[in-house]
Amino acid sequence: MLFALSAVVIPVIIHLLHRRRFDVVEWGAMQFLQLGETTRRRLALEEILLLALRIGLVAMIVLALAAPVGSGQLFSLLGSRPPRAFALIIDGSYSMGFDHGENKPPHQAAKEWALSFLKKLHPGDSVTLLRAQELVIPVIARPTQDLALVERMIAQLPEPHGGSDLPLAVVEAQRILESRNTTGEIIILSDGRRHGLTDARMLTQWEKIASMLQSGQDRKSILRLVDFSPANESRPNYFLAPLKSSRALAWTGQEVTFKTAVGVEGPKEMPPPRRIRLEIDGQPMPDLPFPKDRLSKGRTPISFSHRFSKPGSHLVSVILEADLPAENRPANYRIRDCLPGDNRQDYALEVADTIPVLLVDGATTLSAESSTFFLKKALAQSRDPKRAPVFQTQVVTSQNFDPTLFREESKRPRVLILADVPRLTLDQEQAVGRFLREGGGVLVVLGERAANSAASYNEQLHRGGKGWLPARLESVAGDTNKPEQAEMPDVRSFQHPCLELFRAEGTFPFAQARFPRWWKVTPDKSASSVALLSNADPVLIEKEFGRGRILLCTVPLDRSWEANLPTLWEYPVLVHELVASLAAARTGDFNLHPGQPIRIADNDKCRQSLLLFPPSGDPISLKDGKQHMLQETKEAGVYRLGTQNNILAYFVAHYDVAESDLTPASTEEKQELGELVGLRFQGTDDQPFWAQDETGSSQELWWLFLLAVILLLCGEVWLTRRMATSLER
Amino acid sequence: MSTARLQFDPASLAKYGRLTLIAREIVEGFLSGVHKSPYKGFSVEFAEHRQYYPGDEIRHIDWRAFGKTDRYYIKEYEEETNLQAHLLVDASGSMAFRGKGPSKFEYAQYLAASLAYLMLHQLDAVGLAIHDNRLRELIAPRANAKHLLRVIHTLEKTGPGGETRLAPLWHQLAVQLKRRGLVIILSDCFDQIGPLLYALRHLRHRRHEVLLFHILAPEEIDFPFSKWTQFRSLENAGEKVLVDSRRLRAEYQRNFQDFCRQLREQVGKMQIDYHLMRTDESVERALGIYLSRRG
Repeated sequence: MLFALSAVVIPVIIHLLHRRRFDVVEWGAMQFLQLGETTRRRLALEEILLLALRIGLVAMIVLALAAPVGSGQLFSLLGSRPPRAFALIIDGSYSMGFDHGENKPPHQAAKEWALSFLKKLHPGDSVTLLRAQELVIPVIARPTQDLALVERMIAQLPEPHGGSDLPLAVVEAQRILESRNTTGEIIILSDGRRHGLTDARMLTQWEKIASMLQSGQDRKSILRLVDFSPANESRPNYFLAPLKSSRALAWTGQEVTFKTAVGVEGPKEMPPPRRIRLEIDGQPMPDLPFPKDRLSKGRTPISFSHRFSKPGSHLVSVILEADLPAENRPANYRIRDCLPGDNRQDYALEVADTIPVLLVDGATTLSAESSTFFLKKALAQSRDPKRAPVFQTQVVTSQNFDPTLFREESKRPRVLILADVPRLTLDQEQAVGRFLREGGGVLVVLGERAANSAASYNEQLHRGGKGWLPARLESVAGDTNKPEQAEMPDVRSFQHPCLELFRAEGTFPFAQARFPRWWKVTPDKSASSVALLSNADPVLIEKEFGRGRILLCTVPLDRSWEANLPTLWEYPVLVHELVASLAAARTGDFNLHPGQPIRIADNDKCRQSLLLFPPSGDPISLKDGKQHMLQETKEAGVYRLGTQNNILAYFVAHYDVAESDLTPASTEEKQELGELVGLRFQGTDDQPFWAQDETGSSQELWWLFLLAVILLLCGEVWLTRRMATSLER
Repeated sequence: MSTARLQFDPASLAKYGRLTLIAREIVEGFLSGVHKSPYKGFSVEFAEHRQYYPGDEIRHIDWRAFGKTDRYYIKEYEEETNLQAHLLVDASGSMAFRGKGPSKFEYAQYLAASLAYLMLHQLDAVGLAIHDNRLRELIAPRANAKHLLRVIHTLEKTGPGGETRLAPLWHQLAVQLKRRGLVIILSDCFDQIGPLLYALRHLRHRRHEVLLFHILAPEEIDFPFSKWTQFRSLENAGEKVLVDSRRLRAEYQRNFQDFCRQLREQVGKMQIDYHLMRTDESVERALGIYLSRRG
């Protein structure tokens, strides 16, 4: 816009052109044209002054139209600042709950700071409020001038929990401010820790958004971080490691082992935690014993087992209590655990009563020679002889494999076993693909019949890696006439959780297993070989397809090819573990990373009345049939699906335990971040920057230039009239 | 500069034929007899009585009338005399200025010719001097009828040009004109006021009756220019001034009016008849007004 300042030459050009265009008069009375020196000076001065006024007039008009802004003390005296828009981002991560007992927790201090900040705002200022968790939770999504509402919402902010993604929150705040077509200030209220602010992962994110923040120079918002980092050097902290289950899917009565660890940060030695509570579905269970008298820096593993008597979704919670309850603490109580936010770990486990398994036999008729014969026998057994088999099996031949079985929810199996099936029809193949995409588990067992259909497997099921088969079939290796050359499983190569049982026992459970013949395959890049033969050929290959999972077994699970696996006592256990593992393909749906969606099955009968209870805030009604299939987990914690009185399913979004790292960001790191995205760090004890801004904020100056235009215009009129009057005289 | 053909219309002057050109001092001197009239008179004829006013000489009182009416009357006479008039026509470059009407020199030609005719009609002798900064034509006064043609012919053949340096020339003429008479100056008087007045004073000192027709164009008086204007001198080639006329007007008019006022006042003090003649006024009307005032 300022290039228009070149218009100031217009009066000069007009003046010069005016002088170039003159009349010529042959004149006699030359003696009266001779001006006195004073008059000549006066006229020249008036001329220059008039020209300067007109140049100034044009310049002021241009400057006024350019809508300039000025900052500094001088400009602040020019009048009240224009209304501003603020986006307050409150770090909701659990590190903000740091409490050493001496000062207020950063989260509490941040809320109070925000409330006092609101009182300093001017009428017309608008505020939006965001809570930074793993995702951004807009508390007040649109800038509002109703500061009382903002105060209420700040007061209702939940206790800090989970992690936070500050760069993401800044992006959202910028988007909100830009959508309002206004510039503003983004104020982050955080504890200034390295983790979540200046660590390598965050710096990468800041770099990504730096260009976005700097792209719209005209609309770039001021970015500030008010640092509420705790001043205490001593930061003792107990924390729990993420809770793990030995089984992704359990069945009723089955003993499930859970593992976690108690960690400490701070002094070299600390006493054990006062209590480690266990809750199942929110109901208190006996406290977990702690094995040590003293704790040194590091982690101490703890484990416990539990049998679930009822099928369904269960929530297992471990809660660590290091300190006395606040109400029971004596006067000079020294807090052991400054960070209570990492004292709880949850795990959602699905417990099944029966697991429907569909076995598809490659034989034309079912007999003792069928490929599924031993599999069915193995699945029919139960570890608990008193109870019915866990697996509800159905065996069909490949000709009788009806793709419509997968369509009805009631008849749909959780695991499909294709035992040496020579060929699948197109409908069958597509049905298996859909089954996998919807979270099913498939075990493909290769054998003699497949040898004649290798091309069909590769072209129809593998499709160069685009199909659901995890490996390309190459050839059958080995010779049944040379049993001495038979291969055996390499237990050391067992990588899959379902095979952990055989690896951890310290024995050689498959020492007697022999496979005279086996399939040589080439696994896909997206597949992984989870078990090998002793010659390093893969024997089990796993691949995820859609939401489901598929295992490819390159050896027969029956007695064909002179294999002896079904004769071993580990065989039923292996089959159980494999099937249970495949049945648990959807377990990942219950234990999530924040941001992952919660998938709610279509077959929930009473979904019209279902509510989703997030970790904080009001429950979400799931009346909209489509939306409730994908409910984004915006923050870490436990999500409960059900009605007000009956919880049907638990979902756990696990938080990042690295949040327990209270190391503050260094000055150099802050400086680097400031240079990267223009983030200005502000201490809580510093002079309030809004007060500085009263003198340092940008003031719109167009009106000043407009005033100058008016004054210059008056001056020009006055001077012109004065000159005209002098002419008349 | 081209000279317009003199449109001399005797008929237009006929209506002034009965008017008498009166040289006040000459007539007074002739009538009073106190001072020897420098002019020869053919007859002195009583004209009328008028009331006595303080200041009138007592010897002019008609005591006979006083005896009859017990009031003082002054006897006034009408004198017929052979007046010797000199027409001094300024033909300097500045006289060539032409506004919307005729140039000042053309106007001076009209006026000089009219006066010459009028005076010759009354058997007064008329001489002519045309000059710029030098004397270009000089015709001695004659009173015969053929003289008019010579005067008019001389006027016709002369054009304006040259610089204006009136004062030295008028000094020269004051010396040259031996016999006292009526000196009629037709000029714009664009010269330095000091020397100009000094020259006029010289003429008066030589006992000449002086009539000054100050001939000016309306544009010189009103200065109607409003744009940037380059004024090029009519007298000095190369002298030019570029000015914002609108802004210069006041200053010009102040200078001009100061000059005119000073000239008028000073010549008034010298008992010189000053008359401003605008070129947009008709010659006939100007003569009428003048002669009426003289009468």
